[in-house]
Amino acid sequence: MSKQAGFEGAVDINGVELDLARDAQLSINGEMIDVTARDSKGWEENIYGINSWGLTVTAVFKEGDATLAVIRNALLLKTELNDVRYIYKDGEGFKGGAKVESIGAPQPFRDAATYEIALVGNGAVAAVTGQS
Amino acid sequence: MIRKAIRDKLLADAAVTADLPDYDFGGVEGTKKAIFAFDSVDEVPPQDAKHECIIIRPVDSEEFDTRGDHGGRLFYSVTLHVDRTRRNSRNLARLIWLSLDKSSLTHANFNIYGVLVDPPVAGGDRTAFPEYRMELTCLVEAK
Repeated sequence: MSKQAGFEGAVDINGVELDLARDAQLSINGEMIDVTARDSKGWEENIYGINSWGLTVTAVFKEGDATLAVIRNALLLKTELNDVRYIYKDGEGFKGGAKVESIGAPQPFRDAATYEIALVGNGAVAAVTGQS
Repeated sequence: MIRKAIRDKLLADAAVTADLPDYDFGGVEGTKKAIFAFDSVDEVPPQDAKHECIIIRPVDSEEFDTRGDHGGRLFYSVTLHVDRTRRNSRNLARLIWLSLDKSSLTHANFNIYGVLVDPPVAGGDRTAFPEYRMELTCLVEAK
């Protein structure tokens, strides 16, 4: 596994690469439960709570693009994207099911129209090794 | 990359070409309106070109692609060289601006979108001939 630039990765939605994507960011979060008490000797103490994950993607808008339509319909029809993958160049990455939390659709006057997509994980995110 | 598309757009606009002189480009191209599209910012029109004439030059480019498509943001200058005796050049500069700003340009190998042109700015070249200069910006993606 070598170092790599961000554009070398990919975001796949239900088996199809979202090739209109530009910036993408995966977040895996562990909730912290504060259990600090008088016996903590001056230091905050935490235990793990519930984990969560999400993915934000900025994609250039293109009329008629099938993958953007899949994402848009998932939000409008309140369905899940069963297989969302966030993959690095050599195939390593993460996968899981997700719901579409929001689609922003800015049309900046002097720039390209885009979709700003926020996905929220539904269940666990799993590591992907190679092309598994 | 798209200088010919800009040139073709202007050549097809009768309002722009009505008052432009002809120039013999030679070869297959033959005689056309005096609109020159250059590869380099340093190129100048041939000495026998009459004023007024329009010069299209690439200025800069930057990355603007997606993970699946090759693309870029391109910057061009469109300059109207003006004959000192002409009084209507300001209007011709306005017509060039109106022709290109928010226009659709076509190219065999690229989709071109987001064509914006800043309004013409009056100035002078190194030989003190007056000119009107406009900056064109657009996004391209490989077909």
